[in-house]
Amino acid sequence: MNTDSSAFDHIEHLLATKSFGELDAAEQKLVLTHFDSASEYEMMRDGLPRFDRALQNDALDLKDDPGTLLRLKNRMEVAPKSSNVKHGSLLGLLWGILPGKLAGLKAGIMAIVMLGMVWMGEPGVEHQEGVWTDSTATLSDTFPAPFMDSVSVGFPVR
Amino acid sequence: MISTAETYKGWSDEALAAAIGQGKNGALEELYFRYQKRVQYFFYRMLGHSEEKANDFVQDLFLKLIEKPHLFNPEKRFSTWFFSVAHNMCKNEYRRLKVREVMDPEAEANPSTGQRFDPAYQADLNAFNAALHAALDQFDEDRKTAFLLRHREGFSIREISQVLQCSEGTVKSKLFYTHKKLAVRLKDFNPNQLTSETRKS
Repeated sequence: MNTDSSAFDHIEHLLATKSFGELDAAEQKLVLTHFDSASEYEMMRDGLPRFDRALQNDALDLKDDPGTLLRLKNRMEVAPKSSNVKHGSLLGLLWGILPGKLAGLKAGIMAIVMLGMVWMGEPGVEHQEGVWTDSTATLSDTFPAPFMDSVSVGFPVR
Repeated sequence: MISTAETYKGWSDEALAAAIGQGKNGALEELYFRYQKRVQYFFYRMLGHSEEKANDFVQDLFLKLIEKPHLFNPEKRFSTWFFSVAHNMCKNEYRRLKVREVMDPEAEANPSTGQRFDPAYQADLNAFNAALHAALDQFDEDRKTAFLLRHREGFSIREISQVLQCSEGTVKSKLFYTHKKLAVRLKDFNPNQLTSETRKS
């Protein structure tokens, strides 16, 4: 049924204040577009306060798992602190507010950062073979010269 | 620095959530004290009345707060956000159970669904409660959540709309039809309504 929000407000008000017999003709008409009969309206009047009472007094005897809080505290000891996240967010924000005109500069910075990440190695990841494990290797050992020329200034070399 | 729950007694929920993000154990303890029973009740009523499952979900919910504190915006009301996450967890669980039912039709049925109450029940509060929750279990998770948040937690329509991520009008509509159906299903508990007219319907 397609009913606007104010009609529900109105009906809720009527349910809280008037029995069906106390409604005027227009109110009865409105109510009967939402209820099949006067007695259904009265049932709802009776039910609403009961729902509140029932749930407010629903005294379930649920037991808390006593180990939960301790486990949570232990987990908290190793969880990352939100300050790290704030740094990330701040960098993201600064990056986002760089004007679009500087798209080329952005691309250049991104290329350098990515290259740096590759060079430094991703934290926590051990590279098993090849030049990545060779701490004495230089950037020019790793990449062929033309590629180095292009990334060293951040822009493609014509 | 050692902080106890006592230190955080007068703090708002929002400030406690922010302190948890900074690793303050005492803030976690205080917030746990404030919300554990409330969300445990919510999960218990939403998830087939299993105490064990409710406790697991309570732990997972607090874990989300610990591990991803940045997801909470301190300018918003904490309780609304917390119950939103709880509601989404329930939705995922419903989805998982539905998948399981499709995969395995012999899977253990939800013990609370299909439950009927004896009309001879005395119309006292406990019996009414049992019947109410048996009837409530017939509704989908959005309607159950709206009902519990409204009548147990005293949330406003606006707060419920934030939890369910829908308009306030939709919440009013969901609640109205839930109330209406419940009133009809629980008519045997209303001594004034056992008339021939209601019997007809």
